[in-house]
Amino acid sequence: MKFSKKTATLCAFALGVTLLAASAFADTMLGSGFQSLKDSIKTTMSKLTNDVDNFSANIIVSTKIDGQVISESTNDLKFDVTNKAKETREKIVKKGEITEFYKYDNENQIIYKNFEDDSYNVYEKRKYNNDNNKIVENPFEEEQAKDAEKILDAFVGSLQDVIEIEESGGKKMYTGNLSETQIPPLANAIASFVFKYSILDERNADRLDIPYPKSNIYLLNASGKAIEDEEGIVESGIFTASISAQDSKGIEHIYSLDFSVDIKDINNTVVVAPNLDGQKVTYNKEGYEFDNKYIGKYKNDIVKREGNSFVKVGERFIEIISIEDGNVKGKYYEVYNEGYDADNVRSFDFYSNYDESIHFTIIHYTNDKSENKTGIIHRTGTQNINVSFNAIIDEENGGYSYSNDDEEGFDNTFIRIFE
Amino acid sequence: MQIIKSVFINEIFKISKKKKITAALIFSMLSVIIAAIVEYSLNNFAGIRVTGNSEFSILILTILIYSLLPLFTTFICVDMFAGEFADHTIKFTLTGPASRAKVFLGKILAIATFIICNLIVVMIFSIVASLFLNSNLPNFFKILVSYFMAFLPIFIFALAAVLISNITRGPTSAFMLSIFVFLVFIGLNLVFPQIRSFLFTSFFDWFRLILGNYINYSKILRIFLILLGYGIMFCAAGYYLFEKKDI
Repeated sequence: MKFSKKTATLCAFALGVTLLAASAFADTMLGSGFQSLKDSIKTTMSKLTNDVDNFSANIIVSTKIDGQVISESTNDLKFDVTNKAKETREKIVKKGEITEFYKYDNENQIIYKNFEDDSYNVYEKRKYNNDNNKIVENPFEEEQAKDAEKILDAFVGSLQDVIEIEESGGKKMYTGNLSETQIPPLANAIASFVFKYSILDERNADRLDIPYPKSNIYLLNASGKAIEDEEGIVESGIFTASISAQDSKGIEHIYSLDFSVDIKDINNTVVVAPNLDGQKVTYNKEGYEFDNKYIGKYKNDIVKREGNSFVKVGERFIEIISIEDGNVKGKYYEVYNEGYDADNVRSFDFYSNYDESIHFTIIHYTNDKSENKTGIIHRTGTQNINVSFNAIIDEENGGYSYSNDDEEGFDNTFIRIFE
Repeated sequence: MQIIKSVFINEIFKISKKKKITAALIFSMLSVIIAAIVEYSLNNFAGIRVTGNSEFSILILTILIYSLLPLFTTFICVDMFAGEFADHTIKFTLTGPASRAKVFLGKILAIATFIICNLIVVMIFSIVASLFLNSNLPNFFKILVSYFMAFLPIFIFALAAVLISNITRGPTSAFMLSIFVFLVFIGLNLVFPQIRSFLFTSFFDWFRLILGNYINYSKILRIFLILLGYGIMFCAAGYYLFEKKDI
């Protein structure tokens, strides 16, 4: 049987298309270790935030130089997702010194432990805070994380195949080991630069009493291991990254970061508030920034520049007249020295509504042009206050910030006057 | 076989007479020198070693495989097909005793030889440079295997450029379209990473798969089959168009 040139060419073309399509489909369907691990982490976060009632997590982060531990932080976290309660215990060992931290957090209160005198601080929460807040959020639901994932997918390239998957007894084990030859030069350069100038700069190295990484800095390796249980939850993970660098004497050191996480006691974790009976406890109310002790008069100087010197031309006053349940009422006025001809002498009353913001005490006033304006007032130092007029407050998208446009030379800090 | 050999030698002779070969050599050498200077400066002034303790030659390959290597390969492919059709010099080859199939094969072999030579030159330059940069001896085996593996995706791109050269009417449009296709494929890989298995440009750095402790052989086989599929497809389509093209 003899084929014509055209038939043979078409057959070859069809063979090429078939081979390409079949292999590419198989490759897409099989995916990569990186994709599987990523999916597993996303499933874990989704289940922990939505499906389980409670769980515990243990996180250990340690930094080492030449195998010797420099600092180690151990976090024991307990989450009661259903009852919106969380307990955090942290222990940091740095240069032999131990620092401990304890926090209990539920819908109504936050309790901190002061380990110096074993006392507790209890903050009663404002109800305003409790709207639909989860005790643990899924970071993969954030828009930012979705964009970061796309960028990572685009640039990880063939490195996504360095993660190996082994399955046994219904569990999956992900192992990845990135050697120095596989680390992309750009990633190496950026990581080394950040390490030298940001993470362990000369000042930090001095403070921690460790050798400063001066030259020949490069990422030595990065490795990790994660185990996914039968339910698709990553029950444990270990990650290690090492950087090699020479100090100012030319001696080579290996700086390592070890990170491990264990997710355990799923639906078997009980989160209870600490027993405060017989303990030294200080009670506070969250958000009550101002109470009666702030009622009083505050002032600062109005100063103008004349030639090459400063001249006091008057005083600004703030009088806080009343504070009831966090609602502040007061007045602002300016008094100029006799003989000084001011363009505009401001004077107005202001008030705040406690429930208006959880981040700021927002004051409302009407300016000399009869415009309704807002400002911010907050405490500074022990007894003084800081005031910003004509402020624009942004508390959208979970964040909060403000900017203000006061007159030139306006001093925001007002000093308490004790008669 | 003798005819194919003659066509091949003829094509190699033609390539060797092109100024683009000298340009390719000079630019490859310059790239190695510039990269070596950057690496040396970063290490001396900022204390950062871009290549770590690894092979400078692999850094060079990673950079050039997405830049100069495809660029000069496109030049050669366009010249050997669209260029010869445009200036009618293809007549001398096609009116000879060799069939179009043998001419096509001879040209493809010549392109493959050019790619191999280009890779060898870059590899030698970069190994020499790395001897000055690093006190440690490079891992010659890994470098050799990496450059060997780098040949296949570049060759597939060359076949794509040959196909485009046989579709378009002139060398300029062939060159522009080849570069455009290359950039579109790279862009698609960045924007839609989920379809990366269907894009041959995703595998330009597939040699990285053999650099680590864990070597994913099944992935290497899948990529090889994908590239082979592309190769057969481009070769068949390129030849079909070459066969049909009027002088």
